Amino acid sequence: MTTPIPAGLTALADGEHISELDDVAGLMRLYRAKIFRFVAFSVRDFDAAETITQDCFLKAHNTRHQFRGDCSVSTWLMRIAFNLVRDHTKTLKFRFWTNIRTTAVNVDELGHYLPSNASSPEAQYLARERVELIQSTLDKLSEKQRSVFLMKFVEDLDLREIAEIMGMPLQTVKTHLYRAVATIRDKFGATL
Amino acid sequence: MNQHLTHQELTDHLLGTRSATVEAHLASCSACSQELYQFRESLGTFRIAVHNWSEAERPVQRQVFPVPRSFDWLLVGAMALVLLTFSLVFWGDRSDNTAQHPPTPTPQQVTVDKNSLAQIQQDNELLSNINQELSEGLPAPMQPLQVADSGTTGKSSNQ
Repeated sequence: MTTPIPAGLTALADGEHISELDDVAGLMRLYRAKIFRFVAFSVRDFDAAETITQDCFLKAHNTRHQFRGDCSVSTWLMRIAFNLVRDHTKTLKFRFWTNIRTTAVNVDELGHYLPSNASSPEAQYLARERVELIQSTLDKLSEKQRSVFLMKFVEDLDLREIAEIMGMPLQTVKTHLYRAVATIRDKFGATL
Repeated sequence: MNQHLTHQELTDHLLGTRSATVEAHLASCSACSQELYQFRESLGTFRIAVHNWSEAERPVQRQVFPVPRSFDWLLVGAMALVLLTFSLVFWGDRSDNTAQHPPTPTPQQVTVDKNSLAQIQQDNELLSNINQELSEGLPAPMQPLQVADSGTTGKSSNQ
């Protein structure tokens, strides 16, 4: 009879388990981009996003013994990142001056990373316009709506997983998502 | 079939919750199916762009400059407005009071005033006494001058 191996643990030949969390370099190689883009689009500050991403992996490494394996490492990291973003936003509310340093991603800059499979220049232009519209509307969403939207439509996470990360009931997550989509649809309706 | 999909139905479909009614409507309604298609495609493009961006080496940053947050601007503006309103109201009220009601003297001021009146009266009495004494020293009008030295007077009259 084989015992189930919790997520985040790898089975070795001799039956011992080595945690994926011990290998920080490997962990960052696998999940850095994911955590970074979530943080960057949440806090909209490039330098803060880099710092928070580093903090996330540092915290994960320092508290790796607390990881129970009841969720995937990815979900666990996202939960840490979400909490760090929330703390960062709370601190920001009490700061009078803030550095407007790009809101993490320049809209024009994001346009350079569009997939180049569009058939015509017109289609490319339309795609770019829509990406810019979503990007600018994201800034107008509330913190929770933005987080839910990013987790669902950028990270493609399951709603239950999002609820687990954010520590919210499933219905609340759905409500935030409905509102986020409604705001973006309104913008689409007004523009297109 | 004339009614289009509600926002909830459309979002549910977008989130992967399938319903026979919605599917049937989408099959017959080009407006709804077109909107859903466009929206889904836009979200997909956005997702790919964000993934490409995050996997790039290091995205370019824009210029860094500190500015007050918009909320703080509002706060500062509101505080300034409140202060201005208060100062205007206070100033207006004060000027009205000054115009309508002259300032009432304090008890100390009243004592001082009383003292000064008594002093003035005393001074007046003193001055009148002095005047009286001086006028007594002077010859009354039409009164012949008294000659202090008769010899001198006689000489002058002789001359």
